Amino acid sequence: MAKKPGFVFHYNQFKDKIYNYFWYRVGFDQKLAEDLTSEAWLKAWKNFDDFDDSRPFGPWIFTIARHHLINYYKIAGRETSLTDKEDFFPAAADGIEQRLELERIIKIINSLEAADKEALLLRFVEGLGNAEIAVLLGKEEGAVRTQVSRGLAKLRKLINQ
Amino acid sequence: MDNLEKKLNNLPQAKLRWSADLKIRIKLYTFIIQRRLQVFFGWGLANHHLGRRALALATLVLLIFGSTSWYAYANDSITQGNALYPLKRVVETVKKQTAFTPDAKVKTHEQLSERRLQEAVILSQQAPAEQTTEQRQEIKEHLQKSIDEAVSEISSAAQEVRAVDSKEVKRAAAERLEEKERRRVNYLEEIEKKAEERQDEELKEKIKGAKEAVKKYRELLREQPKREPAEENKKEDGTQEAAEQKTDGLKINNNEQRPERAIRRQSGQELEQKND
Repeated sequence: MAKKPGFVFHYNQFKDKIYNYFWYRVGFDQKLAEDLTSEAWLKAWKNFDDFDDSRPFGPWIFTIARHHLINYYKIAGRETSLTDKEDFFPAAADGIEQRLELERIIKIINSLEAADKEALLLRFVEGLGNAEIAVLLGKEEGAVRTQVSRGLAKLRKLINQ
Repeated sequence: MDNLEKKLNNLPQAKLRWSADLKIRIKLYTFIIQRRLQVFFGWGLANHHLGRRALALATLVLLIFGSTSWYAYANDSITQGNALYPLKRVVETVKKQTAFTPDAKVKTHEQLSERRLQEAVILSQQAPAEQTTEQRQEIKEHLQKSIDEAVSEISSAAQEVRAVDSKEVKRAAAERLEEKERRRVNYLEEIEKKAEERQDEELKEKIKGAKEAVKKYRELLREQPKREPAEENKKEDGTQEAAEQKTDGLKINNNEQRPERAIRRQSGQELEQKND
């Protein structure tokens, strides 16, 4: 059976978001994030027949990216820290102060529990809604909401210390 | 939304570099094309191990066939009797079939007539001492056939010019006439030399006919445009007959291949006798 039309359309819509997802999770390693993005999209293409057109594409592609990342971690043998690289988002922030502030936030996010960290990144970096995160993580929407609030509270506490 | 949420929302957003984007797109489009081919053939060829081999083999065969045909077409030394000659003719036929405009048709016929003459030159230069009687006979037949076909192509070019009756086509053909005619005559003279060396009267006759066809084609291209129909009606019957005779003259020496031309030629000769 032929692939459904529109895969390239979805690709155009989500390519940067998926790249960003990997970029934040592989210590801002551009090359590695690009490779993982490419592999995830090819995996998505191969499974596009299974995609239910009536459901949103976002959670589906993020699920593929997440599984791909988990596989990568298994092969790499460890989870890459967000702050493994010293210069982790070059030229991304304007001004030294703002940049230092963002680096500090990233470091603190990285120090959070894995579940809180993931919920915060998905919510604020990837810009997904609670319902989409719930689908992606296989949780109830309410549980996600609680997780995000709890993560924010922990983050606020750590920042203000 | 508090200050922390704002800060989190302002975290940097990376964009995929265009080079990486391009690489992914190329891979994706390759898969898309592969899948469409698979659907088109319906055999699952693109994904199946044996299917991939079959596709690769088919591509290889096509490449070899294509390049061999092109080699045969482009090579003047491939003449009748050569194993690649049929391929050369196939490409020529395709070229004829794809000449859509009258000018392109005339050009193709002219080019093919020249090619046949070139082949005839090569055939005539083959040393008879090194050949058996059978080979000599075979080459002789091929040589005569090449000349006949050259004449036939010139006649076809002339027919095309007459059928279209377009000033532009005629002018374009007339512009390239000098160079083409010089080459044709040179080829014919080269063959004639060989025919004289071998005292081959039959071949000499063929060459004479071919020269006549070349001359008639030149006359046709240099002919003045047709007069107005009213003026044309005033012409005497005898003049018309003479004009018919003139056009028929182009078909000499091509009679063996086209019997109907032989009949027309015969009727032309009868007219000639009448006029005399």
